[in-house]
Amino acid sequence: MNSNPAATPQTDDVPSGGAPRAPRRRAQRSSSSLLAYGEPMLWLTGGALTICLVMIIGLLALIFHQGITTFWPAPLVQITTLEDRTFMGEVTREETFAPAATVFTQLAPEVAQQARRTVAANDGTAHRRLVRIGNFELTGDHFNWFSDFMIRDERRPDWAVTVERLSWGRFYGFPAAFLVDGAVVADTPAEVWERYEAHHNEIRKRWRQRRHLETHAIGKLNRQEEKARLEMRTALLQHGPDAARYAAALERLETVQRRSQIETARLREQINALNTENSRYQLRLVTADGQEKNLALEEIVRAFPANRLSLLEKTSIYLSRWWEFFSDDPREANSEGGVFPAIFGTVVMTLVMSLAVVPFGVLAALYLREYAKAGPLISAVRIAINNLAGVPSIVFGVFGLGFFCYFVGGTIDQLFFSAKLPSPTYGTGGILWASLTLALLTLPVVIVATEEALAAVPGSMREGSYACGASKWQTIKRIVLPRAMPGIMTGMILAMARGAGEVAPLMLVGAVKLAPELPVDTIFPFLHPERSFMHLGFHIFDLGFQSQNSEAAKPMVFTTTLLLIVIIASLNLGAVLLRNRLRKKFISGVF
Amino acid sequence: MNPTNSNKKAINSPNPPSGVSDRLQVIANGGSVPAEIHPAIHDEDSVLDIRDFRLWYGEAQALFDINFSIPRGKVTAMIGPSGCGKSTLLRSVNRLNDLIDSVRISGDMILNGRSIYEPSVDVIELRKRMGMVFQKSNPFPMSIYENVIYPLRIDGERNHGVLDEVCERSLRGAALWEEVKDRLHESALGLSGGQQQRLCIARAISAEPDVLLMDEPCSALDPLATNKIEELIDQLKGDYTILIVTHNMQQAARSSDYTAFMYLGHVVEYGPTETLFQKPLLQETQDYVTGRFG
Amino acid sequence: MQSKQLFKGILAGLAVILMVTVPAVAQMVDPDLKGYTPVSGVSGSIKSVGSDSMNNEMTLWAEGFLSFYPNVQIEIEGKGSSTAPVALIAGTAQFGPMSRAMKAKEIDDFEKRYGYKPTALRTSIDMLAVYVNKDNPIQGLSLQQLDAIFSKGRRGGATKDIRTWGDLGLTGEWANAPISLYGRNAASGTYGFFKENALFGGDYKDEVKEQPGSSSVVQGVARDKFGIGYSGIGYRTADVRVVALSPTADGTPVEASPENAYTGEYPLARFLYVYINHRPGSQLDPLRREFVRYIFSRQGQEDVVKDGYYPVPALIAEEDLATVGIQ
Repeated sequence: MNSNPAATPQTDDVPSGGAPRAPRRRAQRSSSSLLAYGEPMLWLTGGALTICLVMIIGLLALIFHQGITTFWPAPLVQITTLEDRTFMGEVTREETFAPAATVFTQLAPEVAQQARRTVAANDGTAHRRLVRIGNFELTGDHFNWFSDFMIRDERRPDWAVTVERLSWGRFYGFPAAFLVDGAVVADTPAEVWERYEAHHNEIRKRWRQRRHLETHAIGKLNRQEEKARLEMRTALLQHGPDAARYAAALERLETVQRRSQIETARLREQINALNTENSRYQLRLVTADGQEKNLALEEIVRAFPANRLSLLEKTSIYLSRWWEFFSDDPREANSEGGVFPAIFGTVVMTLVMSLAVVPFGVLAALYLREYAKAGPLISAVRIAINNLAGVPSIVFGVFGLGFFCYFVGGTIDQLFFSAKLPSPTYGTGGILWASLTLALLTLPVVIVATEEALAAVPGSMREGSYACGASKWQTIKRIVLPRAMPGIMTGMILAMARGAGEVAPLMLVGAVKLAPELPVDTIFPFLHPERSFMHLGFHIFDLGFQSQNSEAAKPMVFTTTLLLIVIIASLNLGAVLLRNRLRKKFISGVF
Repeated sequence: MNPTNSNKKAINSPNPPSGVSDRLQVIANGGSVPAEIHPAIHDEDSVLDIRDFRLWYGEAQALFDINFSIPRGKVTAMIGPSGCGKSTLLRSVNRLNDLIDSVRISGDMILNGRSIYEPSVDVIELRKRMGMVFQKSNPFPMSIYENVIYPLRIDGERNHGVLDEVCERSLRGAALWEEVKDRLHESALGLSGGQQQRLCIARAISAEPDVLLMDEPCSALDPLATNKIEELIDQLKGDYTILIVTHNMQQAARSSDYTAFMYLGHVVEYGPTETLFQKPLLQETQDYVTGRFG
Repeated sequence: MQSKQLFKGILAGLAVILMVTVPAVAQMVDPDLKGYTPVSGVSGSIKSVGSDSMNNEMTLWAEGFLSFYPNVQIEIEGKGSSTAPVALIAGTAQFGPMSRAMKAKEIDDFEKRYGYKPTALRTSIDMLAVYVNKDNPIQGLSLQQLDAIFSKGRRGGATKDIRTWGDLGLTGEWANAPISLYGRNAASGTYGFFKENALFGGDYKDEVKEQPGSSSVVQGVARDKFGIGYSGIGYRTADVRVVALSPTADGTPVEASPENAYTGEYPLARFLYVYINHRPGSQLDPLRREFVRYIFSRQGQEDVVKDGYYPVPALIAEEDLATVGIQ
């Protein structure tokens, strides 16, 4: 230490010469030797680490296993019960149980007798399976339990087909006929299937074309009309009902409406043509218990003869299901289809949050560490910041709702969006408010990490810079900040990890069950920070606790969790890579 | 502030070693003795005059009535046991001690006829006229090139021609050019310890300062690197006025023109190096330079 | 209680067209309901805040509506029926789905703000089902027994508290097994409705495990062999059984089947409402008008079936459309 020579006692000088030191006597106490060697501490610390690892790996393995297997196409089993009812579906779970006596009393006598015998032969226990039987509009059930002792016959029919539909969930049956314009053109399973595969792709293509027309072409007209209506409302609010401007706006609105009606009619015609073409093709399926059902090909997302698939075909279905999961909007109250809006919402929210929290946090930390004079006030501020990190996240949610949504957003609405009132624009939850709320939540993380990084910049570097004639800000900008950047990035990574996984406050400030409109899109002004958004964490909560068809939603919970973990991990990985690149630049190889 | 009083609080120095003469004993006891200044100094053209300079860390006084002048274009060494205030004095020259909140000073220093400590002085401008090399090399977390031209960068120099030229000249001046000319844009932190220290010298001379301050520049280096730095000091002498703090008697003897011996915040003797090491005016100096205490 | 009379009065006629056996689900929708026909010029954003029992239903309607108007922005939030009046009064939502009727206090608050009462649309019919684990042999329960199981005060007239399955007459391993109670949290309309109709207004026992969602009640009972809980019929899974209920202590238990809901015999049937802010006599804006029309269209009512609830007959649909000025 050279900076303060007067205060440094002289004793740190190397003793020059002098008598050689006598070897220090070592304490010889056998009772402490075990502790002294540190063996127990080694076991304690190692054991603690192992337990942590086992728990983390166990959790990840569970999620990974459940999440990864969900989309693998399962074979179909056809089950005929002792009561002569036939079902078909996918086995999803099985368990062993001890049937109570009352189970048998509800059965017909001869059936009950046979069942009792089977169970008795098996030491009073029985095996049962949960089968996804689908065909909800016919059966009113999605799943059913089948006890083994109740099964008369079970097989895997060759031509059993799994159909994933746009609505009503899955359908299981046998291809009976292929209909074009209501007339049967094929009636053996192989022929029907051939026809189906020949037509399905182009029909789906037409369907997508139709969606595109509806979304983009008609949407544009609707937006024009909405804009004209808002202008009319604004004119009415600003100038009153008798003003000329209002009359002009009203007239314009009518013109726009007339024009858009004509346009819409034309587009509708196109859409109808596509629909008519599509509706010509139908697939007739027979269920396991003999009911017939015609399915429009357009309604079918994916269909395959589950028991005839080769490994390659299974893999391709598996991948196509993952792709649908990544890239599609959700269907059927979020229990089917994809999670693209949720992925998008999560990523955008996390990025906006980082953009908000990092500059603020770094500036605040800079002031605290570089400019503020140490004193009780600064200590108090530090303690307050650390305490902020311990505040329950829902409190931030309540604050965000009250301050951002109602106060700030409400004011913005009053000032700029009064024509749309009473329906709020910014005065309700939205991705901007959610990001800012989470930014607030993660602010302490960034401040603390940045402060530590700043403190770790060697004083000799600052002195070197000052000695070159640099001002304080130049030193901070050119020396301190670049040197502290890896540490700041660590703070950002921690903040992102915390923010992306947080759900509770989001439920108050903008995450919703369904918001297929993305906060960033191709419609002017491209960014829509006022929009509510879907979030993977909230999606998991929703699937887990709100889903009507909770049995079918359960595997989706795992896949979505897996996806969320992967997204957070890759966001972090990106930041870590960036940090390592920076760090490599600044770490000295010498000394 | 009564110096006697404050001294007692300030320096809990050990008793002076045996064989130390009265003068040091007086200083250790809080007394004050005038410095022995060789008349040869007065013949030199002085670049820096230190006048009645005192410095306190909080309540503790670290420098007492320092009065001497640094000759232009020469190497002046400051020697003395640890804690004698030589680094503090060096850091007072470019006002680096301003960064420490508790430091107070009185007296003045005059650089080229202008006060350093007057309130109207722009510290930043002042520091730009001085280069400083520290005990531990402190290259900045940037490329070799950026390190060398750092003083120009903060001055706002944008002209690439000028920067390239300064970079080469400074690196050549610091005898580093040949070793690094092919990797100017690599990180400076990849250089060896000796190279880093020479890089810091290159940085210190890139703005062509009036005075070059060196605070034990070789104490963290191996003998080979030390040699190189000493050769470098030899080369720089003449172009620059160099003020160097060192613990190493041989180094002071080898590379400096004048030497000041300091003890507990006082300048004890100041004169041409040769005289000071061969036949000093004071027995105390003789004892120190021959290693009988320290 | 009030809803029971409603059912008896309004729905009796509908029972005629229902088949004797359980109908195929898709055929439950009243054939007199009109299919939805889209109109031009519908865009903007819809926000719905309210019941979580109706969360999926609202989502299905939204998805169906979006298939006609892909540009409309729809946001759905479902955290409990009690959040609906607040959002409607504050103007943060245009639709307030509620699984119970608004309380007088909530209507008053609304009227204070706007000068007229909120409009209730009876969009679908739910049966509050009592669930037990799939292995539970219990056959039926009376409301009085339910009251003794769930409430502290037993206002329904039961003489004895019921704590174990043995108290309900089960034998074997069930005889000494304590009943594990699952219910909803207080923000839920289901909570309020069950309290009002099954507990006769009494208070829940402290042991009731309050769940954050309708589905989590069912999942709780599915995992807990000795569990019992209440939730909308739409959340039934294969892991639980629905218990038949009798309105009186000595009556025959009534199955939770659609026809029993329509005839009003099932004691815990209720309407699911959507509340809107509509000044009587005025016109709704096109967006809300079309959404309401969609709810009461054939497609909208098919969505109801999809979600496991029961559709309203054309009669009610017409009546409620008329209250908001739609012919």
